[in-house]
Order: sequence, then structure tokens, then C-alpha cells
Amino acid sequence: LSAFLQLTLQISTKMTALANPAVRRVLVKQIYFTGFEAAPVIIFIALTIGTIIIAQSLLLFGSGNASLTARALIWIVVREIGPLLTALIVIARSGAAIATELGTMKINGEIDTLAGLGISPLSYLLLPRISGGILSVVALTVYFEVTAILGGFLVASLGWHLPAEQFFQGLYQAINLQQIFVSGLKSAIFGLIITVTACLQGMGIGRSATMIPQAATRAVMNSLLLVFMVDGLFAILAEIFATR
Amino acid sequence: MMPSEPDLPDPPPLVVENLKTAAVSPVWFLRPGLGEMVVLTAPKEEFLHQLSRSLLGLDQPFSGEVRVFGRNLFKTGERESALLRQRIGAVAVNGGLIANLRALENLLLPVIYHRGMSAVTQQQADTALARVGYDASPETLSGLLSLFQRKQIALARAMLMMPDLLIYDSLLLGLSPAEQEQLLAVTTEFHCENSQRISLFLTTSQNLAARIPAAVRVFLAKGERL
Repeated sequence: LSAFLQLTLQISTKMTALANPAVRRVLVKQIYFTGFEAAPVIIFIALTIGTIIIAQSLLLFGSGNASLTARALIWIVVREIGPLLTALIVIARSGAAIATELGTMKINGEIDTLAGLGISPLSYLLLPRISGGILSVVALTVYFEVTAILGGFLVASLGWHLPAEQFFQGLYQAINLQQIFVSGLKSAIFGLIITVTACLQGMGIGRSATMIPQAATRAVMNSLLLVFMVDGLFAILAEIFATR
Repeated sequence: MMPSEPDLPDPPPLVVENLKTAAVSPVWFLRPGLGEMVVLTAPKEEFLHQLSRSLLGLDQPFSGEVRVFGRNLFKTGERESALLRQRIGAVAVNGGLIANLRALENLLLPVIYHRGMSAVTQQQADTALARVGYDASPETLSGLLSLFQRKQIALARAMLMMPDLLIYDSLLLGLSPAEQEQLLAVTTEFHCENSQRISLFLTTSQNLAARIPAAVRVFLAKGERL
């Protein structure tokens, strides 16, 4: 945890390096790999989840209660499933990839090459991966939530003839700025956890190639653990604030 | 009005004193003069690699000290060491390229990072590639390049930064005689363009000094003080 906090602090002092054109190139690549290439998977899963939630809600509340169905959808997707499932997909796709890539670079002496060229590995390698990861997780969460809500509604309206007016009325009543803000904050923190954990594991590799898969596994497992812990913490805090 | 301070003489570009890079390694002493080409010969590749890393400030020496442009890289801050390293060009034994970058991206990386990109940079890159005789596609991933091509790109990358100190770690190792001649010709020509530039050739080959007529000093490290 102390290494996690230390790296987060170090990175926060290096934010100005994002103005460097060489660093920006790495940032764009990271956003492309994490945020853009994962979008089709996220959209497909979101569509499926949205449809499942609506179908289950209709079974529970009946087809005449579209407003309540919409509220349940918002409640579950925006508050919980959106940030959490997006984080899980990014952990599986990018967390392991970042740890493996950095570990391979370390073993091949490429990190030292950068240092020898006067290029800070922290600014050039870690900062764009962490910032790009955070931005990507936030963007993917937005895709997820929008697709789950609208896509789920489209499927449900075709399959179960869900009345649109009641549904959207329920949406407007259920959603508020605070929920959107908390969802964004949660996904940003998840993005930070995933990328910082992966960077720590990748950079912590010694001189043996057998350490690379171990680091990738640790990056995934530690990220999962931290993401679920933080998600639980958010749920407890939400409960405390709601009862006040 | 206060009299202005007299200009202090520039510190020697490279001073290596009583340097041991590991528990079992030669003891290095070195103080090349401005404009010198120096061939450093050691019996083992490993010693040269360790020396190269110590000169670049990557590995803390076992004992002794390295001062580059008057500064110990291990006692300078991050910003200052980055500035000092911009004045050092290095060609590693395997080229020292970043595998997930293309040849051109590797070539331009330090220039873009330290100085930003301009139309002139691209021109300089094309010129540097032509000078080293690189004839493959600049868009090739560096992992797919041959050892010679990787060394060509590394040499062109070092040349682009116009360094005051060049370190060639086993430059000719693993190359054909024709490739060796080509790289030696380029390095010698590049060295002579700046009368202040120092070029260090680290090698296990005993006959490299004879192949560089301009080399003024030859050191043989065999574990004893030189």
C-alpha cells in the first residue's frame, strides 16, 4: 500500500510532463489500447447486462410498471455494475498487459536505456499509462452505462413492448448529478488502482523472465482485491450518507 | 560596482578515478582530453558493460568515482542528470532500442522528448539515417531489425543529439567485416566534426585501436591499475 501511495504521489508531481510531445504519444497509444479497443467488448456486455436487468425487473414489477423498471436499472447500473464491471474488464485486458509490457522492458534493459537517454521512465512510461488508464476507465464506464440503459430499453421495448414514456419518466426521476459524479469518481479511482498496481508489478520485476507471468498474475489479483475493497467502501459510505 | 568574477575553466568532460564497478572487476582510471578518441580494452565483455553503465550513471560503482562534465551523476538531481545525459551519446552492445517502437520512433525519441518535434528534426533524422547507411524501412519495429540495423539506428539516435561524449559499448561485436568498417568510418567522421568531442570505444578486441588511426590512447584493463 505504501508503494502504491508513493507512486501515486510521484506521478501527481509529474503531471506537467503530459505536455511533452513524446509523453503525449504514449498517452494517446494507451487511450487507444485501453479505451478504444475495449469499447466493443464493453458495449456488448453492457447491452446484455441492461437487457438482463430489465427482463428481471419486468418479472419482478410487471410490465405495467416501466417507471420502476427504469429506476432499478439506473440504481443498479450507474451506482454499482457500470464502474465495477468496466473495471473488471480493464483489469483482465489492460492490467495484465501493462505489467507484462513493463516487465519485459525491464528485463530487456529498455528502462535503463531510457534513463541513459535522460528520459525519466516515470514521466515517459508510467505517467501516460496511469493517466491514460484513468481516462479510459471513466470513458468506458460512460459507454457501459449509456449502452446498458438505452440498449437495454431498446431490446426490452422490442421484446416486451415496454412503454417508452413511463420508462423515461422513471429515468429522469431516478438519475441525479450526485449519482453521476459518484459513478465518475468511482471509475477514476478504479482506473488509478488498476494502472498503478500494474505499473508497480511490472517495474518490480528482477532479472528473470519467469517473473513476468507472476507479475501479471499479481497485478490482476491485487487489482481485483483493491477494486472490490474500494467498491465495498463506497457502498458503506453511500449508506452512511443516505441515512444522515 | 563589483568586479565580475573571472570565468572558471570548464571541468574535464570525463574523470574516472579508482573505479571498480563490481567486487571482481578491473580498477579503471581515465581522464581523456578534449577531442580524443579512446579505445578501452578489457579481457571480458562483462567488465565493459559494467563500465558503460557506471559512466551513464545507471549502476552505482562498487568503489571509486565517475564525474561527467564535472558532476557525479549519482549526486545530482533528476533534472540535472537528465541535462548531463543529453550530452552523452551511447550505443549499447545490442543497440539499446525500445522494442515496441518503430525504428524512426526510436531514432527521434530523445530529440522529441528533450527538444520537441519540428520540420528540421525530420530532416536531421533523414540525414542521420543516410549517414549511417540505414536502408531498411524506418517504420519497421525495432524488434524485427538485425543487430547491424539496431546499431545503425542507435548510432544515428546518438548523432542527432550532438553529444560531447560518446560511449560505444562493443560497437563492432557480432558484425561482419564490411559492417564493422561502415560503422567505424561513420563514428570516426562524426567524432572529427567537433574538436571538443570525446569518443570512448569499449572493446574486448585487441586490434581495434590499430583500426582507428585517430585513437590517441589505448588502455588495457587486466585487473591492475592502468
